[in-house]
Amino acid sequence: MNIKEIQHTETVDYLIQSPVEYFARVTPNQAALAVQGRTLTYSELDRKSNQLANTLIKNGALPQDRIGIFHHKELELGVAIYGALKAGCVFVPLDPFMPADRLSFIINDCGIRHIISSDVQFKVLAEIQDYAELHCYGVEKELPFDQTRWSEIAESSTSNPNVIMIDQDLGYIMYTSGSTGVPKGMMHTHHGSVTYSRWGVAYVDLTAADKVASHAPLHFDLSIFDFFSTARAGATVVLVPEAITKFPASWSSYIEKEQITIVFTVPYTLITMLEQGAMEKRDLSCLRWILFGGEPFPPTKLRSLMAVLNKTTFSNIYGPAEAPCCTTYEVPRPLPESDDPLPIGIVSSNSTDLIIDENNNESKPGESGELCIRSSTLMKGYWNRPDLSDRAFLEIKEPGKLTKIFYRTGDRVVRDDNGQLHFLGRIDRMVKTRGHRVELDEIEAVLSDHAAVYEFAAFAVPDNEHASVLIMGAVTAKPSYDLSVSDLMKLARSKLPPYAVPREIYLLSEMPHTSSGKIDRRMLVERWQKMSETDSSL
Amino acid sequence: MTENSASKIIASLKQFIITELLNDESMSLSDDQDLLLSGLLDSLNVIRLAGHIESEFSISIPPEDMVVENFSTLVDIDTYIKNRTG
Repeated sequence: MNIKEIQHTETVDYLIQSPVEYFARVTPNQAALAVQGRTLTYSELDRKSNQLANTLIKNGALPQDRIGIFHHKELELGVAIYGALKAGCVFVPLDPFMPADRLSFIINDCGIRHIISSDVQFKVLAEIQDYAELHCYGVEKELPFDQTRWSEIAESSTSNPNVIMIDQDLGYIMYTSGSTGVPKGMMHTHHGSVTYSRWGVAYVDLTAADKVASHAPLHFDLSIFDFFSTARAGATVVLVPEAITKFPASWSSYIEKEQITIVFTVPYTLITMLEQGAMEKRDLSCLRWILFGGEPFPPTKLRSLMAVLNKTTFSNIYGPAEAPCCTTYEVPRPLPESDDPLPIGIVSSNSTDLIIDENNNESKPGESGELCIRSSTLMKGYWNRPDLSDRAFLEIKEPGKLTKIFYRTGDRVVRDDNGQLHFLGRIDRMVKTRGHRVELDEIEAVLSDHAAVYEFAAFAVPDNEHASVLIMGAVTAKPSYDLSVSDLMKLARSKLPPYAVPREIYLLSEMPHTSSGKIDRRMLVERWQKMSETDSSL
Repeated sequence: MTENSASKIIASLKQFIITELLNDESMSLSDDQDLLLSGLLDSLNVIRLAGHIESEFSISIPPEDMVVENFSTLVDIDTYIKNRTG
């Protein structure tokens, strides 16, 4: 149905992009984005994203069309995000390190017809399948499909296209690992994102003087805080180039050089900085607040880091990307002498929590159960997957009252006597490796597809040094088939994001099974641990 | 150190990256290819590569030398090893 909507176009403050338009007028020369000494002011960001939005519209992008952003950390990344939003479209962050197969899948699954990228991604872009309708922006090299270069975009009008939209419209779709073998896209509205970013401004008391690191990749929901809380305060996002994130000593030096005040990241990043970041050679007194989440932070390591950064406030932020920033816990100074894991804290403002047992009844006080969250930041569901959405939500119906919709986190928690929530583990087979969510079932589904594979098992083993886990694989071959581990690795690399590719795949003559006939993954983990201690084979 | 031994360093690093880190012998790596931006090496692989360099070339790499400038390409790593051993 074609409908014509009417909207008053006076200044609004309920959209993700509203602050950029506001600060472009109020503090036009303030840096909105910075990277390695280069900056983009609020005025420049606003004008350039208007140009991109006008170009997208000219090329047929309609409100709520999905726009892929396949870009490394550069100033253009900000233009891509706001350009998509100002065109009334939904931006879809695409992991710049994902292989072409996975990229093609998401482009098709999400119906992406416009993609913003750069020459850095050229090789993978050129391998995209089914690109008949695809239009690429920002790539200089010649692609086998329609493309518009930045020089052409710069010829478009700099005025705001003023596309009609409300805060219930989608702002972004973020893809994450799915247990069925293919990634799934979480649909988030402007309203959810604005709620999340307002929470961020209030929680760390962000002001225009802050410099907030964008360390997490865009497809990781910490980036919503980095980009949009920062913009809401008229502050500066300091993009951390991907290469720097791999070198703790470069990362610590970057914080000092750029005078970064706030970092939101995963424990892995902070532990490697503590241990290999040459911190004694840096003055990091600029860091006023560190937020961490994604994985538990071992208290011994956190204690050491807090001793080095003795003026910095630390907070544990918990929340799946489906319902970001569910709970918060400000780490006390000094941290009590205990090796018990830190609590994940109490539920954020504008959210409520519920702990349920396996029968979907509320758990008794003091008993553990699955954490469910009702929040304004909650996603609308998974793109094109009503089946998965149904399973993700818990509806509480009471006669005569509006149905309450909770998100089932899949995390097992318990509430202590002080009301603090404690994370106990997963109820399914999702693991976190260096902060990235990985479904072991997805890896198994992908690799079991190989013609010579009889059984494939993915399992996670502890990576004690980095307080994380490593993903391993074990495989058996079909009788009379020749199975090469190197072939399997190639398949894994072509289908999975780099962090989900098993570190090692062990070719076994026989897979261990439980008495009920299932693959005994616990046995694999035990055997692996024994192997690493005794230098034997799996 | 001669040119010949410099290219030997690169060849040995290439072999390690392809067979040990990436486990894909069909992969080709050029000497000036960006190992980091292209996503070939993630942070764990960087640590494994550094460990390999330390034992292979009998040097110890202090944390402050573990920086982007020394590890962007095979040529950069070669230069660093030559500076430390030469």
